[in-house]
Amino acid sequence: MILEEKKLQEFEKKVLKDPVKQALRRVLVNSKLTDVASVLEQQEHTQFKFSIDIETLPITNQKQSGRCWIFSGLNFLRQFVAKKIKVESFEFSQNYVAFYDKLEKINFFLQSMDDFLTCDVDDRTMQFLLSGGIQDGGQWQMFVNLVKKYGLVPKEAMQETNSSSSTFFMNSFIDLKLRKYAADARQLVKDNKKDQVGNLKNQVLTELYGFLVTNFGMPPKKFSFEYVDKKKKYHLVQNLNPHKFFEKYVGINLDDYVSLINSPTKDKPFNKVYTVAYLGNVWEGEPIKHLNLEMSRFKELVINQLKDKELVWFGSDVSTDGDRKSGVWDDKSFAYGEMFGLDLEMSKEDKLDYRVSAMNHAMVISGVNLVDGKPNKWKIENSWGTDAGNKGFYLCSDTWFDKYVYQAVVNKKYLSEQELKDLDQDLVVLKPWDPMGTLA
Amino acid sequence: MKVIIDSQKLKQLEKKVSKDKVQTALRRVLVNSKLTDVADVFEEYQNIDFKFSIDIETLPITNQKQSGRCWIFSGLNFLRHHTNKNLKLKELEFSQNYLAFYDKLEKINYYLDTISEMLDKDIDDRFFQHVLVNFYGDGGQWNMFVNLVKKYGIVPKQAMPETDSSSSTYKMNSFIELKLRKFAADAQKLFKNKKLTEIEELKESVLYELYSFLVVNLGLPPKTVNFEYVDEKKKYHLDRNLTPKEFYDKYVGLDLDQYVEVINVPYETRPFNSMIEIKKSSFMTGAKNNKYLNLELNRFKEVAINQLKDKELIWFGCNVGYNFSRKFGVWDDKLFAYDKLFDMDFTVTKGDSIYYRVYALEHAMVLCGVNLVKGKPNKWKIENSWGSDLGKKGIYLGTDSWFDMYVTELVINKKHLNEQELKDLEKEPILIEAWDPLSE
Repeated sequence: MILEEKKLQEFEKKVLKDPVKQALRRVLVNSKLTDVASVLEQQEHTQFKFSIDIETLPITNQKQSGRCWIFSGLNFLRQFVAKKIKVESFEFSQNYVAFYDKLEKINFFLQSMDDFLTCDVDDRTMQFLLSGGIQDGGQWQMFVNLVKKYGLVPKEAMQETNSSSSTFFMNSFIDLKLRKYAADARQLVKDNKKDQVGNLKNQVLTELYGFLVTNFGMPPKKFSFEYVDKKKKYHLVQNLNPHKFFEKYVGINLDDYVSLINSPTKDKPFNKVYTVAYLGNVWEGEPIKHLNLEMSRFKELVINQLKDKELVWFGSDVSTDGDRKSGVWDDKSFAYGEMFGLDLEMSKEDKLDYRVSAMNHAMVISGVNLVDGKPNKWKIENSWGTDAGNKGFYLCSDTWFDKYVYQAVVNKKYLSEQELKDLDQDLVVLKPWDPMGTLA
Repeated sequence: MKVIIDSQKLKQLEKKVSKDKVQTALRRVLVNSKLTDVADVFEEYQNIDFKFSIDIETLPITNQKQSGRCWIFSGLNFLRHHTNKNLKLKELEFSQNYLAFYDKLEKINYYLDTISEMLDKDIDDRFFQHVLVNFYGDGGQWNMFVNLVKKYGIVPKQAMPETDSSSSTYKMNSFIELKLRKFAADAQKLFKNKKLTEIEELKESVLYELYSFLVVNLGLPPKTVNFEYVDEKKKYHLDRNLTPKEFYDKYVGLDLDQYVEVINVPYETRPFNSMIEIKKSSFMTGAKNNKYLNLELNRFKEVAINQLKDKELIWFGCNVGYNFSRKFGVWDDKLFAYDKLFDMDFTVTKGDSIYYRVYALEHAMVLCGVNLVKGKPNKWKIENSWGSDLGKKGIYLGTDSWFDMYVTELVINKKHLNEQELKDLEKEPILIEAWDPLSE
């Protein structure tokens, strides 16, 4: 339909007769859209008080990077350290894990490109991988693959650097190099020099390894661990290596944990397992695996783990219905639809299918409030430092949880026999651009 | 051959980098320095002095703030220069918000129309997904600017000033996007149930809802305006009751059909001296798609220089992400030596850069000067729309070698084209897909 003058006049007449719109027009001359739809009555429902509340160590800060999934993974693991050695504060080196993540992702990209050496340059999957580049984001299984392959080190053994905390500029060089590789490798194949692709791959990997070392530092092979426990007693443990450190101070079997998702879309029947094509880091590592469950069961499993005083790593979409200042995510705290006469209601299914929502941030659930056995709000440990949210903590309402939480990682021991069997089904492969993708 | 990063491979990489004295030194440097700060080529400073043999005086710098309206700002900066040839004012801005209002309204309508034409498509269809995700936003192209000015005219800035939402569009856009994607979801359901008349009703109601949302956020566009100004002799003028089209005719009066978009895209499937048309790129129902004439680099620059010699500004499109010095307000590929510093080869051809997603054609600005040494350009003067606090009081410089690599599009008065090129404009265009990198 061409927008004609007549139509515009009709619209204008209608809008001028609408007193609420006229009022809002005046309000928005000097106010921000983000500030005008708060529902004050909702505040009593968003107090930071919880019937199950797990104590956590001091808040971490991922800064200007998309390493939420690594920070949250390490925040999940450090609870085991805290139990073992009884310390008031402790962090693993996020930079150590991020270093190997980048290195493995670079290699993963180079290996993946083997599938696209002869396709049309406009190939949808190749263009998707090229556009995405290396990125900071990741998934639970990618975290597990890294920890299993490289172990962990305490923060002091490999501190943050400027580039690790603020990755944008460094990533742009890595992406440039990888995209150049794609162009060059395809040219070699075109020129009948396919045998040189392997060399080129190795050369790019070597160059980027050097670049990572320069930016992130050299990951340690051996180190000492110093700490002071709650009784102020000093400890020094020498000659540790990253694997030994993990075994000694975490000592859990990461294969005991499974990723659950809640994606009520037609392409993903419940109680089946899913993976995402071309999403990974460690080439020889285990593929991403999600078990799709209905929301009530999904929440039940999460609550069971919290009742056992164990944190839960989870993935959600934090872009909607949130207030960074107060640290509250609650769909009932904002009344944009009502204010602006916009019908904004969409089912979770439609939001996923039509690209309104996707999981984009990983955090740790550290509590829940149960009223008559039912959850009404959840406590969250974030990795955005202590200046954001409620001293670094966040709260989400249970209705927000229903709408925007997509993934949680729980211990297998809470799963039913049938669910354990379901895990062994063949993986359904999702497209690389599926909303059940990366978290940053 | 697949490369797995095993311990042997890691040792080999580590050995090599540990022997490299430069990389080890850089590692020390980057503990406390930013990657953005460590590669300045001091000797190049002398080549980026803001002095130009052809230097067109421009009006005070404008500011697009937190919005992607560079193309509207630059379009209006181009037009106001024509106005001021006669009026000779010290300050003059046209309302960017006025055009942005109609741009958004037309884009919304175009989105609804485009989705309505493809309701039978699978959700994962490539074009369907492209429309869903990319068809609404702040960005735009010269042809869209022309379509808007021709249909709606322009008004002085005072007739429709900025609002918070116009200068900072993120939140407003997120509601519009949600609503448009909701329409896609709802309309596809109606289509499946063969309720075709209801789709039309839905479209109409969404269009009105979003129209009123725009009015509330951006203000109501004026139907008639008064133009007040004080000229260089301090004489006050008042011109009353002009419609936006009358205002354009009286104070700009340019025939915009005299201007054509020329590009320099050296890529095998995009031959020089051919016309390239992007499918579905009018973003205004009933208006023309975006069309380019592809020129080889020397000729591309020659027409630019001719237009500047004629004392006329040039609207242009480029990538601004690489080789930028914030400190100097300069784009210069010779100002930084990252390749030498990190011993990495970063060379990619201009065509590969575009088609392998090394860079996006992301920003529009205005060329307002060039320095010619023995007839050859060595640096270009640029009027940006990032306010006067950045750059050299808002003015920027791009070196000629940067221009060669990163400038892809110019809007040129037809009078600077030769006879053959004028004929080329009439050629049957090569039709390219809506998601082609050239559509950005």
